[in-house]
Amino acid sequence: MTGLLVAAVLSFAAQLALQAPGLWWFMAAARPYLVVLVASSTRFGPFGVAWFGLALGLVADLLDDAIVGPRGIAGAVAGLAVAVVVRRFELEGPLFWIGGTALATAANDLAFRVVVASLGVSPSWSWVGSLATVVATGAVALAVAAGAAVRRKLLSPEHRRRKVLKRL
Amino acid sequence: MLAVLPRPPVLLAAACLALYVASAAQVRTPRGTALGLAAATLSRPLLDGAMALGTLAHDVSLGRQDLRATLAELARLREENERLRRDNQLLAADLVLLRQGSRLLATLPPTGDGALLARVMARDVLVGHSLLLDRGSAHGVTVDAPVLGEAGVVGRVDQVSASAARVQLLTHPSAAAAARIVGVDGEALLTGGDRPTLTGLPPYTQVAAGLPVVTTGSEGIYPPDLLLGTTGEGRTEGYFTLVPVTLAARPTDVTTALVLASRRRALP
Repeated sequence: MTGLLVAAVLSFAAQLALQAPGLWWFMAAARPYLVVLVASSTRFGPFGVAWFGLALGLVADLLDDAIVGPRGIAGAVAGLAVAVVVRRFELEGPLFWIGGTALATAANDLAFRVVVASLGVSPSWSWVGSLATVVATGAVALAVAAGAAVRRKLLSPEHRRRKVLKRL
Repeated sequence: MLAVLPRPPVLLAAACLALYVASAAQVRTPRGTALGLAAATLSRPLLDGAMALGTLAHDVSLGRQDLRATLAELARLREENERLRRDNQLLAADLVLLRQGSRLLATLPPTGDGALLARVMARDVLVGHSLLLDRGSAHGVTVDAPVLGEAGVVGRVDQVSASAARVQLLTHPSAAAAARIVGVDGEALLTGGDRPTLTGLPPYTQVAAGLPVVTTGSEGIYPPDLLLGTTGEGRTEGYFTLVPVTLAARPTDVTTALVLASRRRALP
């Protein structure tokens, strides 16, 4: 749980960092906290993930200085969808990260649009922006998946045995 | 304690709903917050429904009051309508009588002083062979006064009270009148009954059908030359020629009659 909280904090920090003017503009559309949401689906049940997504969405709302609530609802929906799909199809590896993140981002954006539309407000981005969010967040997920693969490889018993054998 | 907690889906849905409401409260529009607009939009049908119910109740109340007044007015109008209908019937009857009396006076020959119009109040055409008039001795009607209808002689007065008079019709079995056939010599006696007949004519007198039969006045009751009826086919029985007569005045149609002054009263 602590690891997830740390990851969440880091994800929001990354989101702020990705919006820096020196970086590629496309990456400013990324929502790294959704990758953390995907990661939580292996720890919690579907409704636990939904609650976690709700909390992450609320924090995102606060950070965006926007109306507090719509992203919370969207995060809950996305978390529930991701948790259900991950369990149903037993996603693992890069597919888990990239597919889960793409699904979470799409569900999050769609739910957000529905909520704000029902409130009589239009989001400040178009469907192209939604696509950019999915792609950029997917790129972040790709990076995370690569890091996870490297970490798994480095921490695997096989790697340790090879390392020991090289020293001999 | 945990048993009373809602299930996780319900909790999550409730939290999302609360967030949605909170979001709506934050959305600013020119006409207020989205929450206010939503509340106004959602409550408008309720308010409209309540207003409609109130209006309906008010209308029903007014309608009930109006209904009572309308029913009272209806009852009053029905009574007035009934009264007017009765008046109209009376006026129509009066009008019919006046017209009949007018025609009666116009068709009959001058009858001299003492004649008066009377209404038929009752009639017994089949058994008693009589009419009851609304004029009596108080109006100058006397016994044996001739009574005429629009078409001819009806009969004579046989009973008089102060305000009414009974007329013996020519169809009465004991009725009789001196008569003659226009165009035929000789006087005869018209006797009443179901089949009024002229008797007293010489045997084998040729009488054509359809000839007028009028009074002669020799019996001292009817003035002369008043139409009694028309002849049928005559026949000879014994020493006389019998001629059936179709009476001109039909008692069933007489509603107004002209009562003449009795000739017996006028005679010394």
